[in-house]
Amino acid sequence: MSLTPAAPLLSVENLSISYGDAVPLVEQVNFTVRRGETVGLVGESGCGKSLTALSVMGLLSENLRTGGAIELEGTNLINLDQKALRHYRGNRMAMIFQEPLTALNPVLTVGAQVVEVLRAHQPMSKAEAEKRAIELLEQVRIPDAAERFHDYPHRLSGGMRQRVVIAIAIACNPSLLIADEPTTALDVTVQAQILQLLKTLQREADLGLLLITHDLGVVRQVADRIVVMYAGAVVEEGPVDAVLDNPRHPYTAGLLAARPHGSFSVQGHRLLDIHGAVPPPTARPEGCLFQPRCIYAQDDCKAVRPQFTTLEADRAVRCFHPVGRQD
Amino acid sequence: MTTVLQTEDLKVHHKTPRGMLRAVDGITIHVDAGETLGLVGESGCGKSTLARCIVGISQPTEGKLTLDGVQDEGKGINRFARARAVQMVFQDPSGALNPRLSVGRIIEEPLMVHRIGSKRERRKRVEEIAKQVGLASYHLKRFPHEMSGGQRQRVSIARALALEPSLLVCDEAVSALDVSVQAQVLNLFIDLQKRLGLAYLFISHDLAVVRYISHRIAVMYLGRIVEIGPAEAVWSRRNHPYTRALINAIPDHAVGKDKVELLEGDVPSPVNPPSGCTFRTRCPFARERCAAEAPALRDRGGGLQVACHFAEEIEASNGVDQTHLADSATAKEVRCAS
Amino acid sequence: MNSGSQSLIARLLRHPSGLVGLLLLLLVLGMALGAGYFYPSGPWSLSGSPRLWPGQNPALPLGTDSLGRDLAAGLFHGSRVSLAVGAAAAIFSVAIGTIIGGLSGYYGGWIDDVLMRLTDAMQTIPSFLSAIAIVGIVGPSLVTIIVAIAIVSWPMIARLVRAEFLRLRTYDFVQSCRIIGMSDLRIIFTQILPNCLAPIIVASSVLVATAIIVEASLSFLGLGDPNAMSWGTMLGNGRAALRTAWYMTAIPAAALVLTVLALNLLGDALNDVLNPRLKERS
Repeated sequence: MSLTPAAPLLSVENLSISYGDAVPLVEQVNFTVRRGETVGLVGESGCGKSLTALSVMGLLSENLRTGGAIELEGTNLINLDQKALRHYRGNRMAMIFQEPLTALNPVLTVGAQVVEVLRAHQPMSKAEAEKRAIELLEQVRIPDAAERFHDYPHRLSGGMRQRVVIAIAIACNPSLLIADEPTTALDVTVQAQILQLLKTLQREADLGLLLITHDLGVVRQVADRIVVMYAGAVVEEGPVDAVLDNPRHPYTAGLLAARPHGSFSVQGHRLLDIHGAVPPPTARPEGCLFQPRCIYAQDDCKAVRPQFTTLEADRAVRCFHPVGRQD
Repeated sequence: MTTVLQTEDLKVHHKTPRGMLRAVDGITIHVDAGETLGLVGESGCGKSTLARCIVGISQPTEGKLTLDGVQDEGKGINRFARARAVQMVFQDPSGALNPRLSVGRIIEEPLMVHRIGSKRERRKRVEEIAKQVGLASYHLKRFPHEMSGGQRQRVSIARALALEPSLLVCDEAVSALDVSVQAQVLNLFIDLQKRLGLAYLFISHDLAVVRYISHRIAVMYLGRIVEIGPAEAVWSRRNHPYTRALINAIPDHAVGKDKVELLEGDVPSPVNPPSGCTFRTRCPFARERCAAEAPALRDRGGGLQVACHFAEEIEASNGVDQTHLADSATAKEVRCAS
Repeated sequence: MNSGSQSLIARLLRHPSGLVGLLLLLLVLGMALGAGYFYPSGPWSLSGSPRLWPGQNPALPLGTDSLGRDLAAGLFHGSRVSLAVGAAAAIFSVAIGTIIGGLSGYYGGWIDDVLMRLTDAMQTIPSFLSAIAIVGIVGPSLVTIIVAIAIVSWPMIARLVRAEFLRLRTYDFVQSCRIIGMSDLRIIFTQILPNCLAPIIVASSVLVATAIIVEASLSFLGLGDPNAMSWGTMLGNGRAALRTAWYMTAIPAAALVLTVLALNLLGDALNDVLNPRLKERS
């Protein structure tokens, strides 16, 4: 299968994930990630963003059913068996999780864990692998990498651990990196360091980066495009600045307005919250998924579920009555 | 104005195998009635230990603590008096509620412990409090696991309000909530303050949240206050390099998308803190004096107090051009072009 | 609460090993309760010729022992002893273990050190040998046997409860109780203990089984209460005639195995059914 330069690295089409027949967790998710591009997948807890990421990695638990297509460099991953998937994981795509402590084996030194991954995927002598591992630790900006190589995970700080996890993820030169809330467990000053590291690594290796987060600020800083999910479906997609400066879906607009800004004691403004809570997968509403919480909802919103429609170049929204400016 | 909380040189030291851990190392703060003092800092800075000390879960090793005019002189404050003076709202709304009790019972418990009112009066009071925090009476029969995160946090707040304390210590009370729900709870805190004249000690790692809700902000680093003052002064004057780094590290507030000032490294261990100014190992402005001499909090005008030898210089450099200082001193400005 | 306690039995019945365990246990319980009704003359009375094989005499379906005592009567009355000893010993050791483990886990510090060293010391003594020693010194009676079993088995419960308390005491809801001014004892009994009942119940079902075996073993060795006919006593009596009349040992042994099996199955099922953490997180 030949890859034209414009062909996306990862293309997720009509992805659906359900628990049994009755409970759809993720519905009709479409998005693409190109080489060298960072896509921010954003949403609140329960929106299905992590499930989507896990399904790309082929790591969903057995009792969940997946439909649609997930194509990585032209191969549909959904049809692959576990053995073939294992080859893809690590070599072609890798994932970073939220909690760096549980992602590392506490009884092995960090060096040994990097070496293990290297040798599992590539024929390499032990000495070669150790040399490469130290290079990798240096690449993720771990100071005194040769010494840290012999440290156990608990000896390292949270930020350093996350760096090790990233080193393991990029060990076999994947083309797609999925980061699921990579900085949520970290302090703000360390978060800034890790975000910057991800950005640098991505540029160096021309990686496609799928960044899953609940933090719109993180997306704004790191991502090129943003995909906003709500209750298992994509509600808005587009270039980061365009979407965040001029959100067209009421949910995106609501999320932005709900973020704490300014000072109450000075300006005396209330935050614009979104009333109610995200519906559980078993009780998703008729019509538009966001309609019960939406202040702009009209009769048609309650009757029919809106389709995901392209508004203008590069932007799409799942809403009958988009808000914001029409560019 | 009455002061509901006053600490004087409060210290919490723990013995550890590797040496004395100075979790809280001489904190002097006060909170007035009806006021919000925001306390910001990264993990390990001692903010939660301080909170636990104030509500009485752990004991200070040294220093004075006065709650609602009642002073702790080493023997601890009577647990009933303390409970009526201060209550706490926790971070994790599911861990803060006993999974085996109904919501109504959870809110009623403080009244039962303090033997307030008859069973019927208590029930009535519980309904009132529930209404105050935006819960309906049918919620009272539910169990915590049947509610959403935001609702559980409302239950937690209702329970804390039952004894009508004058101070509420909120330890990362909105950090575990989704943005849309976080806004609901922040609005609730503000409404309750207006209605009940509550004072808050609002602890969070999120400076944007703290700025929004606080009248004054205290910034903590390695067990000490490095900057304290009116919220807007702390936020906009950024006298301490740590405050400045915290603000710059908020992704959206980064000076520009392509230019972010980063702190190096991690917070040092509180068992073995650096000499002199404890922040100097990560400080882009650090000089020789910082290693030799620990800066004390000093007045910077407008109610702002800062513990930094070079606060004037740093304030002057703010906003003008952040790159200007990078070339001087040992500062490092890391560029991240996209 | 409807998802909690109300359907506990229902959920237990839906669990295959729970159903089997519960039915077997009910059968044994029925035997214990019906012993006086079916065999009013007690297990000691001579009711037929000695060494009757099962089925030889329709009136004595399980046969008789070497003295002519009805084995079925022994089985029924013996179940009383077994269950009583098992339950009483379990209750005692759960009570001691819970108090010691609870105080240890809740307070920590030197209280924990002292209590846990005591527990360690108890656990280093081989439990069956010390039960023999206690019974040997004090003299065999049901009460002594129960106490002996309880003394050797509480450390297991204490460790379990301590671990649960250590885990639960860090939960914010426990801290919150301290902040509202609740007393320590009230926190221990009304807040923490109800939340660690599940593992305690599971452990007790195994404890009952162990106690029954220990009692049987003691009786087998002739250290049982001489006034109580227990399955262990029957085993001991049958031992001499093992070659010629193996049914005398096989029948009480089968009863013993089935009862212990029932308790273990029930323990397994309770473990699955009572584990709320696995289901709530979703």
